[in-house]
Amino acid sequence: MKYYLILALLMFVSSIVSAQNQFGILPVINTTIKLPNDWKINSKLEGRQLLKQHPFPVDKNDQVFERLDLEVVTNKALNSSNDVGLGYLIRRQEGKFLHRFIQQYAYTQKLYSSRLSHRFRTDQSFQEDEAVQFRLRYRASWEKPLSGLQVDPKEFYLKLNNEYFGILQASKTNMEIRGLAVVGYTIGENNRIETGADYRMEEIFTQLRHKLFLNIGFYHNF
Amino acid sequence: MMKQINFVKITSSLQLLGLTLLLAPKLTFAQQKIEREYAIKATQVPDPALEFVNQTFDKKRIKWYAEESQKGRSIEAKVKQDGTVYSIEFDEKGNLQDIETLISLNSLPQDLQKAIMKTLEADFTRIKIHKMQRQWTGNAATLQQLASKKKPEEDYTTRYEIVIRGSKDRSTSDYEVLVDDYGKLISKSKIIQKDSPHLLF
Repeated sequence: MKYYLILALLMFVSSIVSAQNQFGILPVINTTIKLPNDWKINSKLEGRQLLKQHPFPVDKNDQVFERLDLEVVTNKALNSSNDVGLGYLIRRQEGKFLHRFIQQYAYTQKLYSSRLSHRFRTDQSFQEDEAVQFRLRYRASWEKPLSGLQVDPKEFYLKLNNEYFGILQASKTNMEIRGLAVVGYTIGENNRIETGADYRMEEIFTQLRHKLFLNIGFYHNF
Repeated sequence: MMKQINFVKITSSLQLLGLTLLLAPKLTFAQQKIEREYAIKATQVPDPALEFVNQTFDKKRIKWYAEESQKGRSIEAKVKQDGTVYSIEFDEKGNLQDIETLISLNSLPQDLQKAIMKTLEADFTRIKIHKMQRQWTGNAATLQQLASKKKPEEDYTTRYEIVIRGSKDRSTSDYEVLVDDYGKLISKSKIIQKDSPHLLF
C-alpha cells in the first residue's frame, strides 16, 4: 500500500512538472511588529525563483527570478478570534511594478487539538497598461501540532492551506485555486520556519496552468 | 511622464517603509508565560498515575501528556469514556491533583446555572461560554469512586472552570473563570492568545 501511495505521489508531481507549467522555489520572510491595543503590522517579503518551465520559454531561459513582492498589512485583533486588516503590496516583475490594495477579515477557531483560520480577502491590483484587477479570496488554514494538543516552542507542526480566488479584470472572470502543505517548527517564542509544497491552478477558465513551488518560510515576531 | 515620476516616488517610499519594518529595532512588550505541553508514552508516566488511570478507565482510550510551566512539570491523562471527556492531572511524581470533566452549563441544576451566570454578568457583558469543566479534588479513592459513577464515601470539592469570551471596559477577550459549587467567583484570568501570523498572512 505504501509503495502505491509513493508511486501515485511521484506520478502526480511528474504530471505537474511536465504539463503546462512551472516549478520553482518560493522563499518568504514574514515579520510582525506588535503594537498597543491589539494592533500589529505584518510585512512579508516573497520571491519566486523558477527552476523549470513547460513549454520551454522562447528566450530559452527557464531558470529566472520571476518576481519579488513586498506586502504590508496593518491588522487589528477585534478579539481572540476575529481580525481585520488593510494592506498594500508592491511587486516587481519583468521590469514593471504592480500595486495592490488589500482588505481582509479572518476568523480563527481553536479546535480540540488544532487551529483553523478562515481568511476572506478582497484586493485591487493596478499595473501600467493593464486594466484594474479585482479579486475575491477565501483561504482556510489548518494547523495541527505533531506533539500534544497545541503548538509550543521547539515543536513541529503541520499546516494545510486551501485557497480559492474569484478574479475580475476587463469584464472577464477567472478562477484560481491554491493548496499548501508544509511542516513547521517553532524555534522559540518568536521565530518559526516552514517548508513544504505550494501547488497552484491558475487561469482555470481560460488557459489552465499548474504551478508547483517549494515553499520556504521564516516568521519572526518583534 | 508625471505618472512615471509618481510611480517611482511611491515605489521608493514603500521600499523604504518595508525595509524599515523588516529591520526595525526590537520593541519591548510584557511577555506572557507560555506553558509547554506535549504528548508522552505510557512508559514515561510515573507508576502511581498509570496505576490510578488504568484501574479507573478503559486502557485503550488513554492519551498521556506532560505540561511544563513555572510551577514545574505535571502529567495529564485524557480519556473519553461513556461519552464523557475526562482530564486527570497528576504532579511529577504521579500524585493525583484533580479530575476534570467536560460539561455544558445546561447540564447543571437551574439554581447553579443562574448563580454562575449572575457571577459572570457582574464582571462581563456579552458573555459567550466556550468551554466548561467540572473539577473534582479530594483523595484518590474518592475521586476514583466519582469517576466510576459510584457514591463517594468521603468529602470532596467541586469547582467549575469556565472559558468565556466576555466584554469588559469596551474590550472583548477570552477569560478563564473558576467558581465554586455555589457559583461564587474564586478567580479569573485573561487568556493571552498565541500569535498566528502564519495563519492570517
